[in-house]
Amino acid sequence: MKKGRYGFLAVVVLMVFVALGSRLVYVTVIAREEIYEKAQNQIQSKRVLPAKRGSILDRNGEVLSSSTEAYRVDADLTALQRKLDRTGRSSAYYTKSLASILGMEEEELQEKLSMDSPHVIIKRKIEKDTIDALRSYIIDESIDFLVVSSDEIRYFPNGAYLAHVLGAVNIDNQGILGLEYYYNDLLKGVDGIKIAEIDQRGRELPFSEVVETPAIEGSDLILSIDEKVQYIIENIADEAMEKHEADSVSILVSDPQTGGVLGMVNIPEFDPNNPFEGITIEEFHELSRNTVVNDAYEPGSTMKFATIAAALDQGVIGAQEQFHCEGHIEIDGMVINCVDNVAHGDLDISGILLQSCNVGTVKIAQRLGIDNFQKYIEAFGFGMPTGIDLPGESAGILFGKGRMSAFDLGVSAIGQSQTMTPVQMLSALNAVVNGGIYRPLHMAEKLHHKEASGLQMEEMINEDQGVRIISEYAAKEVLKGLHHTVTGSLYSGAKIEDIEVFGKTGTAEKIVADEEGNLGYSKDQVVASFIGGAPFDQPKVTILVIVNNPKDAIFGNIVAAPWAKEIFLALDQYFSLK
Amino acid sequence: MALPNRIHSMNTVPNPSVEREERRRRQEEQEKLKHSRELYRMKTAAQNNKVRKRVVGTILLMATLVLATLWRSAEIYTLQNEYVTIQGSIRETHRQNEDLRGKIIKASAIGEVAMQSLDLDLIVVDQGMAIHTDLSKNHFEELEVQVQKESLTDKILSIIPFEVAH
Repeated sequence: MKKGRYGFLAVVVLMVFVALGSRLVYVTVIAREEIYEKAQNQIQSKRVLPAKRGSILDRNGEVLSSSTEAYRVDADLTALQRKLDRTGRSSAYYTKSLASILGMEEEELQEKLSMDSPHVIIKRKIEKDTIDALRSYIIDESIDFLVVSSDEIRYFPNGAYLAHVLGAVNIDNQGILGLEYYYNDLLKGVDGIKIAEIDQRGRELPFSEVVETPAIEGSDLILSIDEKVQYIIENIADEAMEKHEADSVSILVSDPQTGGVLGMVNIPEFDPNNPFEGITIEEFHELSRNTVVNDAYEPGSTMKFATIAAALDQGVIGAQEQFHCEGHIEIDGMVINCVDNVAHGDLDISGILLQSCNVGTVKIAQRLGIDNFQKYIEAFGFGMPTGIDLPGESAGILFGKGRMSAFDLGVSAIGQSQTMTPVQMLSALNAVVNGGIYRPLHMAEKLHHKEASGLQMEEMINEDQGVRIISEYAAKEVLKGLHHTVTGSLYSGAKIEDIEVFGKTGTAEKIVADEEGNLGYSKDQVVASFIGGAPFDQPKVTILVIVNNPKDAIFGNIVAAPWAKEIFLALDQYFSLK
Repeated sequence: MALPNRIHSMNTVPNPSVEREERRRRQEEQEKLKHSRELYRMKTAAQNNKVRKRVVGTILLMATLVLATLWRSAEIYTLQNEYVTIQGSIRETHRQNEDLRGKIIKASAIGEVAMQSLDLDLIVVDQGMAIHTDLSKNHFEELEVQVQKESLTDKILSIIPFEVAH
């Protein structure tokens, strides 16, 4: 070989080595990060470990709402088109079977499969039985355009039952109403992440390094609600709604000692499992209002206990003091009547409560004075949210300081013109029942936190020592009066032979607009209510029943009190009220 | 120039003693050569044997290493398969568990329980069904203690020592 050829070969080899060396430097030094990232992306999988949403349980551990794993089906429309082109079929070939398996309308599915998009969600929150059937169909038909992946279903096993309290979640399991919304941050938990090296088939490589931050499950929420109490009042509210053809019926049951709500119902309800199904958004907004918390009403005569309690506490009246009722009282040229203008004569506070005497109550309020009346109204928690753990609590509407006239005082004392929420009313009654200690109502009592390690921690919430708002003496005298109101009457709708019930009925005229749009009190549209509890010696439950616009009768004693009686009788079978 | 001492300058006949000596020397040389060749052959054979042994040893070692590697790889592959299978089983069990949980949650609805109870004709036990008993009184009949009278045979047997009687 000639010397020149050797030289040429050496140069070529050298150039090859230089090129390889340069590439090596480029790969290992210059583009290292980029190439490393690309390589990592190919072999590394970053998977979000979704946190399981916590359950909501009643006080006895019964499940009220809980989540389980489910499935979703997405369609790759490009793959579908390829398949259709390959097989010469139309998408209708698959639509009928798929719609039948997934429980969908054929038209809806066809519309989704015809969308101008690379992929589309076919259905979410599918149960295992359905997905098993779908998988069989996918194998039989060699379908490659459907993707089955994980999802989560939120079950509300009792359907519409307790719907306003529990609320609902959206498609991504985020709370949008009720307790699901209020405690969303605690219920939703924290998602985890898993970084692992995978093979071509997406399987984790053994002996490779796995970085895993486990998900922290959402906390379980334990309510003061008692499932059986709720069941009782749900059924009674349904009956009341049907019997009176009312616009709505609300019932609230609480444990006066703790302030825990045992049951809360508003009829009509919605089904949180399918909150928007078959109704418009407007209808949903109407149905999903928790009127017990979100709406205020004029409580009527049920307010009288608060007026009398305030006067007794202030010391401006005596428990045995008599007030004379002439059937009506004139204030600033305006007249406040008792029902049917009946003159009750001389009455003490028990008599005033028993007869539901407007005149006697107005005279007591006048003795108390506007400033003191407003001070006590505030102390009873009216005019501001009580802080109950439900969203959108209304404050009610009160006369502002310095804006209450003598007539306003009179009508406010008998529960007209100012508005309160049912939650405020029952919290106020509970203060009287508890010897003057005010403790607002609450829904949740405990949280069960679940650590990533599996450890569980219990946290008590909404524990409230309460605050004294009236003297024990005043509370005791008013409670005696409320007891006399039920037991001392021959006609009390809430009277039960073996159970010492106390309470007060109310019939408040509703403010409605006339044909010309002017607002005024209606003579035939009322809110009939009963507020009370049992047993008198050691109250275990307090109840508020509100029937909104009953069509067959108007008086609280005829419309609301009998349902309270039904509730007391049913509760007595569950936990003795004797 | 002096002639070699074995050649007589006056006579061309080889000296017989010189001839014998030459032959012996040649023979010795040949034997030496033979011995040397034999030694060389033996040495080479030994070396070849050594090399062969080394080659065979190396081949065996490599074969062992290859086998070990293949065996380990197969083991890893099997383990991976098992791992994947177990993961699949765990996932399937988890799915079944979740499915079952969903069914239990649905079945635990109080309305469902109430309906099933009605279907099964279960009754609501209320306080009216309770049996009230005054435990301050003794409601039980005083029973006389009945003593069984001994028969004649029993009396006789009781007198006789146990071992004898039986």
